[in-house]
This record gives sequence, C-alpha cells and structure tokens, in this order.
Amino acid sequence: MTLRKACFLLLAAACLAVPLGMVGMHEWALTHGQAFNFPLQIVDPADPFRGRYLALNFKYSTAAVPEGMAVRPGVEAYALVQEDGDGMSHFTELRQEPPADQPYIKVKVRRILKDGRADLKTPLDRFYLNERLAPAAEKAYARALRQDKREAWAVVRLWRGMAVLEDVMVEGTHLLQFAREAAATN
Amino acid sequence: MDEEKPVKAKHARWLLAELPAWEAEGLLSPGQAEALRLRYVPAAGGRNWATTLFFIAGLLVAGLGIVLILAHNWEELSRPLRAALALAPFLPALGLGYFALWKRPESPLFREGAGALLATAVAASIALVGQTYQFPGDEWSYLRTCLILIIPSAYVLRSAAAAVAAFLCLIAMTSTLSPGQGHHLQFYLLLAATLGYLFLVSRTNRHGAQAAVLSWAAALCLAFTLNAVVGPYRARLTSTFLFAAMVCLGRTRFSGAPDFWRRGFEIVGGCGIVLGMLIFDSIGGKPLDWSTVLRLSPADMWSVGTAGALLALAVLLWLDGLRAHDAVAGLFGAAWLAEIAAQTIWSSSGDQDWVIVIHSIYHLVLGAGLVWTGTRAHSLGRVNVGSLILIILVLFRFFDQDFSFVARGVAFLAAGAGFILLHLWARRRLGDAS
Repeated sequence: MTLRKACFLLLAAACLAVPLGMVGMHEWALTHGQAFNFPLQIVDPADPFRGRYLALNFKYSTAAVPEGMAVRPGVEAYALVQEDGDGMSHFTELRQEPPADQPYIKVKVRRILKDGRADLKTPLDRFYLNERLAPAAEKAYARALRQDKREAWAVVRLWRGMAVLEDVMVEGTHLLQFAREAAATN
Repeated sequence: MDEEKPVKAKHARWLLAELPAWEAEGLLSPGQAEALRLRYVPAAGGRNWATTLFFIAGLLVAGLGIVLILAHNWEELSRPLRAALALAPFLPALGLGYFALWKRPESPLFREGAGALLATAVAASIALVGQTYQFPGDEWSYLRTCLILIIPSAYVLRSAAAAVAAFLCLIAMTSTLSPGQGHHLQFYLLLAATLGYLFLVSRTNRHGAQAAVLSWAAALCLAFTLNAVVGPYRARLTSTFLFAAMVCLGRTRFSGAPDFWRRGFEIVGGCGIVLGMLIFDSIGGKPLDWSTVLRLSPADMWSVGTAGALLALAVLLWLDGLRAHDAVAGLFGAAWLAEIAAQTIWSSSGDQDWVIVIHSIYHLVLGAGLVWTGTRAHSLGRVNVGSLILIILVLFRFFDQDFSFVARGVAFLAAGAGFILLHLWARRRLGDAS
C-alpha cells in the first residue's frame, strides 16, 4: 500500500471520528448529565425565530465576580450553577478554574455591569426548529410570552462543564409540540 | 534541449499539423521538427477541466438533493437516527475517494470529484450534527473543524476542488477576524497549510489548470481575509501592499502562462491596485496617524505584523521584478511607494487632495508606462490595459468633481474616442513592426 493510500485511510477515519466524537460526547452528556431549567427571556418579540432556529436569551445571565478575580469582556470563565426551590436554575458566581464538586458551565464574559456582576454569554444561544413550523409558531410563541405571561425555560444537561440543550419548554409543553399545535390552529 | 513551453491546445494542434508539410518542403530537418514537437506542448486544461467541472457540479447537486430529502422529515426522526444520518454524506464521498486512488489514480476527474464531495460531506455532516444537538452559533469553531478535515483531503486526493473549498472556508472566516479577536495564529496556520498545496502544485506544473484555478482562489482569499485581519484603519495601506505583491508574484513566479485566464495573481492584484486606490479616494476618511498605524499594543500586534510582512513582501517581489527587467512588475509593484507617499503627505498636511493628486499621478504613469512599454514589446494587450487604466482614471476623477452632465459627457466621449484611436494606432504600429 502506498503512502498516499495509507493517508487516505487515516483521513477517512478522521472524517468519521470527528462527527462521531461530537455525537458521542453530546449523547453522554444527555444521558448522564444533570438536568437544569434556565428561564428564558424573549429579546425581540417581533422576531423570536430567525431563520431555522429560535434565538435563546437567558433571563438571568449574570454571575457574581469573586473578589480578586480579574475579568474583562471576552475572557472565558466557569459559572457555577445552582437550582432554586421552584425548579429553576441560575448562575451564582464565576471561577477561573472548573470546580470539582459543583455543576458549572463554561461561559464567556460579555461585559462587567455597574454592580460588579459579570454579564455572561453561554454556549446555548439557539434552538433549531423546522422552518415549516416556525412561521405559524412564531406569533403564538410571542403572544404566549407577552400577553399570556407564560413562562418558557431551557432544559440543559450539564456534564463536567459541557452544556447540552435538551429541550425548550413553554409552560410544561415541549416547544416542538407547542409549535405543532400552533401550526394546526393557524 | 530547451524546456517545454506550454501553449494553447489549438496552437499546438496547428503546429503538429504543419510540421510534416514543412519537413516535406525542406524548410526544416527531421531533427528540427522533432525538437519543435517536444518543445511546444499543449497546456493542460480547457476541455478536460470543463468535463471535470460538470462532473463535480453534478455530484454536488445530487448530494444536496439527498440532504434536502433528509431534511424534509428531519424532526420526525429520533435523535440517534438523525445522528447516524448525519454521517451518510461521507459514504459516497469516501467511496469515490477510494475508487479514485485505488482504481483510477491518474484520472483527475475522479480525484477532483472525490475532493469536492468530501469537502461538501464534511461541511454538511458537521452542520447536521450541530443542528441535532443544538450547537451554539460559533462560526469560527465550525469553520475551523471543517478546515482541519478539508485541507488534508486536498493533499491526499491531489484535489484542487478541495483546496478551493478550503479557501472558501477561510473567506467565510473573515467576519471572525477583526483585530483583537484572538484567532489569528490558528487562522494563519490554516492559511499557510492551504497555500502550501498551491506551492506544491506550482512546483510540479505552474502553468497547469490546477495551479491556475488555485492562484485565483488564493488571490481572492488573501484579498478578503488579510484586510479583515489588519482592520479598516490599516486596510488602505495593506491592501495596496498586498495587491502590489500579487502582481509581482504573478509576473516573476508564474510568468509565461499561455492563457490570460491563468494569471490569477496578476489580474486580481492589478485590478486591486487600479480600482482600490480610486475607490478609497471616493470614500474619503481621516488621514492615517503613523504613530497609531505602527502602535504595537497586544491587540494590534497581528495587524501591524501582517502589514509589515506585506510591505516586506511587496518590496522584495518588486525588486525581483526590477532585476528581471519586467516593466509590468516594475510599474504595478511601485504602488506601495505611491501609497506610503500619499498617506504621509496627507497625514502631515491634513489635506486629502494630496492623496488624490498622488494617486492620479501614479495612475497616469502606470497607464502611460504600460502603453509605451507595450508598444516597444509589441504587446497589443498591454497597450489596451494601459489605455484602459487611463480611461478609468478619467472616469473616476470626473465622477468625483461637480461637473455638469454636459461637461462629463464631453469628457467621457473624449476618453472613449481617445481609447479607440490609441487602440487603432497601436494595432497599426504593431502590425507595421511585425
């Protein structure tokens, strides 16, 4: 076998290994990770659906900065996650190194607020939705959140800092189901 | 014996058809005829590449059709099944790659098809996995992952199509490359790896179709991406340095190309110099502050380093062109000097009109120089390019000023008539000379 053919076989293995590795890691997190519910906030009620996905914005996306920790916009850090009594979760404080004994998400600091807390950008900024359902569900979703004051939250599985978005719920209904019902009534 | 000189295929066919008659008439000896057959070979490309391009287009359209069919009922499928189907695009791509390397190693058709299909499969597969598991909208990470798989496929399959796909990914990275964003080292490594394939191909056959296609892709990629790295403040300077370097590179390292379309670096560089300076004059802006341009803060290091490297490259290649007595390289390559002079005078005087004056003088010298040297070298094409530059200069300047429609109409008529007369004069003079 020539060198080129051997390299092709290595390349083929790499091409399959990369997506398989991504699938494996995310499936592991979804299967073995701990579930947390993060309340969502609608940013642009006129257009919560952009193209084929829903743009997500966490309602509580800030965390305290411990004294002595140097942070600036663009820096990566680890945000500790804590569950409230009502089943929702929020960020508590930032760390420079991943903690060993608490759930956390790897985040990026967007800006430092006046009260000293850090506004965070999480790796969970979109939820893909079929384009057929999106137009009909768009209006129903915006109406549900603004007029009916319904709560929406993201179900996130955390495993060693890796955050995988499992689902988006609207008042206990899966968003996909909610979108199908909205499409059926429109 | 002298090295081979690739010529257009139709010229090679004409020569081969004429040689027996010349031998029969005693104009050439058999040895001389054989020497000519060996010297003038048909340049690779043309019909073969048209077939390859259609083959690639057909594969890509079929592949996209499969993806669309899958996408129709995507959300009805379970997540594990979606993940498995995300790998499906690799099957035909790797299958064709295996066939190309094991069964048809000398056929560019299958190698190029495999390269194009594999690049598409990589992009589609990672996107489908991302959609299944709700990956964040991190364009940089997605493109970097694609490039890490696509670049090696260009080398392994010897596929220009895969290398072109890599250049397109690098161009798509432009939005993630502003100064201070922190991806520059990785970007430069990926760019160097992709350019390395062009370097390898040009060492084997710098006038071949692969080298020609890749030089176009590389020239356009560099034009888009390097200006994003340096940022808008320094782009006025560095774009001129880059385009000047491209023209000189094309004239010194890729000289002798039999067809005009094979001169990607020259054409992109030349258009960039001529149009870039004039468009920047129209846009206007603030004068450059040299202390800011040369500032070496951490956020500016990559920007300043890139600008410095491009200047060094432009100067070195220009000197190469001058040593080779190449008038075209000498004229276009001097653009870096004109730009530095223009920006310096504007910066010290505060009057942007100086930039317009210096750019106009440069274009005048460039156009007139090309006309004059083209006449001496009996190159009608060069004469036409020179006079076209002069016309473009006239058009831009008259668009800039507040002249009436009548005045502009007269100026354009004069410019057009001048171009036609110059062209006719050049044709007559070059015809008389030959």
